[in-house]
Amino acid sequence: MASERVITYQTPIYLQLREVVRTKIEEGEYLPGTAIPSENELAETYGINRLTVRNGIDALVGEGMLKRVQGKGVYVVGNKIERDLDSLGGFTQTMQEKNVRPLIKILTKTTRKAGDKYSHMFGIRPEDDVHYIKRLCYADNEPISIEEIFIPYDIIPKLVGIDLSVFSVYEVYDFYGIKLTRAWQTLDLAELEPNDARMLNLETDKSVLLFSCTSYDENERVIEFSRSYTRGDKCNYTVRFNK
Amino acid sequence: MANKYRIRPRDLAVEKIECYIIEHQMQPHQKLPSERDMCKMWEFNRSTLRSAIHRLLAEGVLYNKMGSGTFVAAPKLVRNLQDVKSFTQVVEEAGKNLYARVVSLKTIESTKQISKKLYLPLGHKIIELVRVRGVDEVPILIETSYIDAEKCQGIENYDFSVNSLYGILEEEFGLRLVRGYEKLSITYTDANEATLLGIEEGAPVIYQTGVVNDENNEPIEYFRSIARSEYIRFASVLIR
Repeated sequence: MASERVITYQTPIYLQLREVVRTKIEEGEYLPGTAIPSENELAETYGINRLTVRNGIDALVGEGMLKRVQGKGVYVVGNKIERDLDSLGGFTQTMQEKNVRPLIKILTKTTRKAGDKYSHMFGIRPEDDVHYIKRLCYADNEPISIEEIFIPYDIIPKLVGIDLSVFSVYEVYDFYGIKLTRAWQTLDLAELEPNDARMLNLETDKSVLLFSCTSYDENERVIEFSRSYTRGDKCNYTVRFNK
Repeated sequence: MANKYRIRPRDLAVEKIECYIIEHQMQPHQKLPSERDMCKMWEFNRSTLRSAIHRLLAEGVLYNKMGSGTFVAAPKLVRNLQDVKSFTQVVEEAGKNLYARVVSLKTIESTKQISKKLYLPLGHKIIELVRVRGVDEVPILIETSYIDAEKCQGIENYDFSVNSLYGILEEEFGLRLVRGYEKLSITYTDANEATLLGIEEGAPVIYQTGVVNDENNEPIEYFRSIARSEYIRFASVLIR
C-alpha cells in the first residue's frame, strides 16, 4: 500500500503531491465524478513544476483512482462494484455491425420539478426536484437513440456537478453506493416529434421503438426512470427466455 | 445549475393528461374532457394540446372516435418476453377473451431461411401455421410458426382456433418448448397483413422473430410474428 509508506519532507516532491491528491480524494474533498484542479493550478498552489505535478498524477491514473480525459481534465474515479456481466435477461441491444464506436452527446442536463406524473412515480412531492437528462446516443457517428433519464434529486444531489460525457450514470451510481438490483423494461412503439426525429435523421416516418425502464434498488425504491427512443432499423434487440 | 430549465410545453401537456387519468381514476373507454376545457384548465394553446394527444394516441394511452372525442384506452396486454407463456395464457391471466383464427395450416418445403433456423435440409417437409390472435374480437398479432412435419405428424387434425399450439405440441407430440431467443424490431404492414389486422397498409408494428428449443436444446419452432403495439406491450425484468 503506497499510502503506508512514510512521506517526509525529503520524499521526492512528485510522491508528496501524489499523497496530497490521494488524501483529498479519500477524505472527500475531491468527489468521485468531478474534475480535480488543473495541472497548472496545482503547480501554482504548491509552487512546483508542472511536470512534477504530471508525474504525481500519472501514478494515480495508473492506479485507476483518476481518469485523464483528453481536452477536459483529470477526473476522480469512485469505487466500482463488480457487475455481473451476464446480467439476467432484459433486452440486449445488438448493433447490426460489430465493433461500433458508441458515443453519447448530452443534450440537456438539468433539474426540474417532479410535477404530478413523476411525483407519483417516485413517491415524492410534485414540487420536489428531479434530475432530467436528455442525451443522443450514436454508434459509429450515426445517431441511434434519444434517451431521457429522470432521477429524484435527493437520491444523488452530486449529479449536478458530474460530467456525464466522462462517466456513465451507472458509474456514478456505483461511486455513491447506489445499488440497482432490478429493472422493469417495457417495449412499445412511439412517434417522435419533428425536432427529435430530425436528430435521429428520420425523415418521413417517425416511428421508433420506445423502451421504458424503471430501476429499483435493494429496498424497492424507484431510483430511475428512463425512456429510450430507438431507431428500429439500426438496432436489433434480442431476448432469451426460459421456462 | 444557473440556467432555469423549462419543460417543453408538449411534454408538460402529456404529463398533465396522464396524471389527470390517474387522479380521476378514469376507466378504460371513459371520455376525456373536451380539448377546449383541457386548454382552459392547464392554459395550453390548442396546437400544444393536440400534439400531446397525438403522442398519447401513438403510444396507445388514448384512442379517438371520429366525431365523438378522445377516450382512455384499455390497458395494454403485457407479455413478459422472458417466460415461455403462450399468448393464450397471457390473455387468460388478464381475464379477457381470446380471439384466435387460423389463416392457414399446411405443409410446405423448407426454405433456406427455415432450414438455417431449424437445422433441417432444404426441401424438408415443414408445417406452417398462420394464426391471427387477439382479445375480445380485436386482432392483435399475426403469428407464423414453422415446425418439422416429421415431429408432429397429424397436427393438421387439430383446430388451433380453440387449441393452444404449445399445449398440443406438448400433450400430443411430447415436444416441450422450454427456452429460446427472439429478436425485436419495427416493421410496416403489407397489404395482406393490414387486411388481417384490420389496419392501414404501412402501419408500424412490432416484428418478432425467434426460435424455441426443447430441453435438449434442439430447435422445435421457428416463428415470426407482428404485433399491434397499441394493444400489446412487451416487457422484461433486468436483474443486475
